[in-house]
Amino acid sequence: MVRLTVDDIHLAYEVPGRGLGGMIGDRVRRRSSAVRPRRIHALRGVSLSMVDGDRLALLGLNGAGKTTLLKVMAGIYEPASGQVTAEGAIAPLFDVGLGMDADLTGRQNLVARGLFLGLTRSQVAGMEEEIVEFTGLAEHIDLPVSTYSAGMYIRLAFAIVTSLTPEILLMDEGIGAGDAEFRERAQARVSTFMRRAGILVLASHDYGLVREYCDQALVLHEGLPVFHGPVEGGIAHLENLVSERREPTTPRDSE
Amino acid sequence: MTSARSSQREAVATLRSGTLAAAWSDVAAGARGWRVWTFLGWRDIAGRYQRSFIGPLWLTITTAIFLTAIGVVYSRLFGQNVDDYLPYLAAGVIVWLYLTAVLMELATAYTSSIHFVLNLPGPKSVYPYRVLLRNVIVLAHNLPVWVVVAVVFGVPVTPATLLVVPGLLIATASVFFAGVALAVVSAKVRDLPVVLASVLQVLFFVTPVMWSASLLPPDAHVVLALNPFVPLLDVVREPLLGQAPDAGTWFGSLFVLGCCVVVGVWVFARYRRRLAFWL
Repeated sequence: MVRLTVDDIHLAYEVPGRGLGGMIGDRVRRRSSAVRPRRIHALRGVSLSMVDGDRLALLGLNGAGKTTLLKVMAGIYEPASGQVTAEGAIAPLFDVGLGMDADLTGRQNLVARGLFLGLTRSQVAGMEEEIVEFTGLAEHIDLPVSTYSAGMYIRLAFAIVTSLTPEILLMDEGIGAGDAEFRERAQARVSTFMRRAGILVLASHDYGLVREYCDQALVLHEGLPVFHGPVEGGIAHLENLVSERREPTTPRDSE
Repeated sequence: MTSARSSQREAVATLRSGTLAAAWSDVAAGARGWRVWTFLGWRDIAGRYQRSFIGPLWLTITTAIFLTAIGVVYSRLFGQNVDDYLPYLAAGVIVWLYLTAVLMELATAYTSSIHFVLNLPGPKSVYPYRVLLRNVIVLAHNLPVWVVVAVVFGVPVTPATLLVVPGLLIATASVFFAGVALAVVSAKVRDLPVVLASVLQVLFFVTPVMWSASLLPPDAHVVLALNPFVPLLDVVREPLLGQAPDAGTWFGSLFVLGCCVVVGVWVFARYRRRLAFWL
């Protein structure tokens, strides 16, 4: 049974400091007030309970806490209070291009990612050739990632992530990858990838994507959960927030 | 598949904020995730020599050249017999290089792996393990140098030689725990690794590595008493030279170890949670 429970999560963080030099400089110039870091209360009491087959959309304005919540679910951020309980392998997919070491070759990055997600060497080896083939990188796979073009980089990252069979898939925004030819192949792959996951949590501004893949929505506003229910209700709620705020940065469609 | 997956399950399931228990489960989960850090640790070594002819042997050669040059010149300088001086120097330098490299590389354990820490789940202890493994491999490369020196200069092998095992464990654990604290703090204070590098550079000259503590007049011994590297160095070097460390060295090194463990555990347990925000 795959299960993901989020229990009353609170999280606040400080905006990164300015290093020793900046701190001493400020002290010397007696601007101690400038040193005090700004604290951002990113999540205030979020609770969720999801089981096999649940597909949740995280909706909210920019800075509402969607990505932070995903990172808490993934265990990358630890909450100040509250608890996340996950039964099942988690695959976070926040930014396709990240999570790779530029000094390692494509193949080594592939192995590293698999191991990080709890696979064994032989399990990774079993998937290796299929991934290499899908990327179409051929012999480039054994060159350091730093030599890749942006397109090659994304192809590899995309192929690695979507080859895993996550029980819990945490995804930030849609995946746009590569040239037109690759994108077509990618589209099909994303669909099966998302359908294969036991639990899907998708943070997105793209209503089309949300409607297609999700069956419930959680709307966050300034770190507070303000709506939890059907997708259409969530989208309506978010639209209200948008018009209330009359924000210049309205939700953008990510292709 | 099930065993690997269940270990991850535990790691996420036991997430609790700020407590010692959470830190401990991180440490344990990191150990269970050995596949990750053994892979990365070995890659670190192999990657350094990808396109070089004699590969990892460079490590060994560098140490050998350094010891020969310093050994010849400084034995004259200090008016000491090369036969006595060179084994002392070799043991000291090899141990010093190892201990300080562990410290310095641990200081950047997280800042040099930002792309992994911020994008992949899993215990935070994986990164220090990787650095330690990498440096143990480097130490193994320098071992042949010591063996050659020991054979050429007839260093005695006695029952006390076996004490190198507990000695090395104490010294390694000390720099490991201290280094973990540095790794975490460095994520916030990015100046730290640079400061550390210059401190260690100075310490090399005021620590009895190239010179013997017996050359120091008694009224200057306070320099030794205040230096945590002195007992850590002695507790490994003396067994290498076939002598049992005296009680002062044992107590001193255990005291340093205790301090490092307290600081390391405290910093890791308290600030581990904030690592992802600092990076």
